[in-house]
Amino acid sequence: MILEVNDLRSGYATGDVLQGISLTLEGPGVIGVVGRNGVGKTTLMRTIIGLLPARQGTIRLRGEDVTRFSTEDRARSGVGYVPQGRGMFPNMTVLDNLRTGRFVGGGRHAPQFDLVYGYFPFLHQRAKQLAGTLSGGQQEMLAIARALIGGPDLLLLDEPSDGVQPSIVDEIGDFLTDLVRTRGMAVLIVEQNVDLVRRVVDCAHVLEKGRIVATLGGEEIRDGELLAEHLAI
Amino acid sequence: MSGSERIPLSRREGGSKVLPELASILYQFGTNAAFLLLSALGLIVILGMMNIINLAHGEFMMLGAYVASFAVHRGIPFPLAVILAFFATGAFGIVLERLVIRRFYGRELGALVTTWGISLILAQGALLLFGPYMPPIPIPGGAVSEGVFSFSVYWLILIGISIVLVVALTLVYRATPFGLQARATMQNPSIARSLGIRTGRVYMLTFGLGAGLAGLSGALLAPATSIAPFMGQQFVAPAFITVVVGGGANVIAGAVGSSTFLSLIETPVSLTLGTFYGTMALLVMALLIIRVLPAGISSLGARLRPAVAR
Repeated sequence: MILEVNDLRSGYATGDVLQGISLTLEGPGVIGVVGRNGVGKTTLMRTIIGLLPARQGTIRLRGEDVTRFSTEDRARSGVGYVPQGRGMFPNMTVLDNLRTGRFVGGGRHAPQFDLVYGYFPFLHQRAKQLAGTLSGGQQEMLAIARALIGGPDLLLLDEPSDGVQPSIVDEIGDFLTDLVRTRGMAVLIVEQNVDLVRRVVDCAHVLEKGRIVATLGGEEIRDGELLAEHLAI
Repeated sequence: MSGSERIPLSRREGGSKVLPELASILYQFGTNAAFLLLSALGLIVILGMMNIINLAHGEFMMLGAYVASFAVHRGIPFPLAVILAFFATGAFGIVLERLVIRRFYGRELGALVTTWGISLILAQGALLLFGPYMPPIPIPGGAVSEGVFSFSVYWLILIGISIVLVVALTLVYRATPFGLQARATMQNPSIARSLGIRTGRVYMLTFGLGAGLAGLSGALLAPATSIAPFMGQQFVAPAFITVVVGGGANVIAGAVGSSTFLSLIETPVSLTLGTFYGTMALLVMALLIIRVLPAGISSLGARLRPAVAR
């Protein structure tokens, strides 16, 4: 069991956004969280990484209860977090941005530059360029590479397709599929882009008003109609 | 100039008199710039990296001068005393950060009032514990004379040391793992934390480094001033002016730029009209720069950079 979230509640001063979420990631694969704007998808991701405190419920990583861990200790326990909007350090170079990811997973190993340069060669060519000058899609790939370079067990991706051109979204989809197949990565992805969800996700939880109201299996996702219905605005 | 090279006085008129005069102006300029830079050094680290306006900066410098004075009068050589001042003030800064300062992150006004309180406690505490004066530290090194002009060897060394300190500080932030984590923390603390960077420790070490540098500067400037509980005040105004004129786009480069530029104005006015008018000119210039470039001299570079990168 890589990730086990049980009856999680959290939110902001105005009240609880998450009304008791439970989900698990048992091993390699991609689990999706879908739903309309404002249902709590980003709140869920921020609570799992610890940027928001859990008001109730537990979060377990590989069996260990990390609910009271600081954000940095969760990252060091092996969670690579790619926030919505990418969270670049815009005034730092591409290379320096990558270097900041080395503690994800604990920093025991040397950063895996070969791995991320293999997937995204432009990062190598543009190593000296300021991250803020990259295009949206390139920044997304840099954010993913930064979360990956230290060797996490779990990737949290919050809307990687946001502000990214379709061809790059496809590229990110292929990359994720390959990452699961060849590296055995477990991925929790929040996404509104139907194409990307259909392309990568094994199973998708539908979030509504802070609760999981449905879980779609592979067939239902590939079918597309149910998914589109749940994502319709 | 050695005796054998001496040429008859009549032949020295004209050309050769210009050289010492130029050297003297350069020397004055260098000492003014070094004074501004040394005063500002600890402040730029704490303000630039942590966005905390440290009103106890002058008292950290006082602390460094006190440590150096204690050490020198117990027979420790001055260079060692200066290094001791760096570590002692740095350790003090770390303790202060853990106990007090860290409770005020994200609350800039709270931090401002707190550091002001710390500055009062430190200055009055020094007065209570050690009295109104500390034994002075004699200025190391002698003077070099050239005609009517004389240059203090110690100030020449200080000019060199301030250059070395700026280069070292730049290297710490550009080329070490700590510098990388500090820059990431400065740009986006929550993202830094979500990547496993222990931002609490980064803040602690940054505050310690800033305090230590203030102590180091205080110790270095101690021989040139009287060592007393309220000595910090003379450094605070120049330090803040240097930092504000330098701006926040690149604090280190900004402080180098502003101390160079401000002393470029101050020096000729001081030499012709006296130091009082020199200080006036510095203040007026600082006001003008802040009026024209509210984000400081370093914003010039930041404004040009995107155009170059594209």
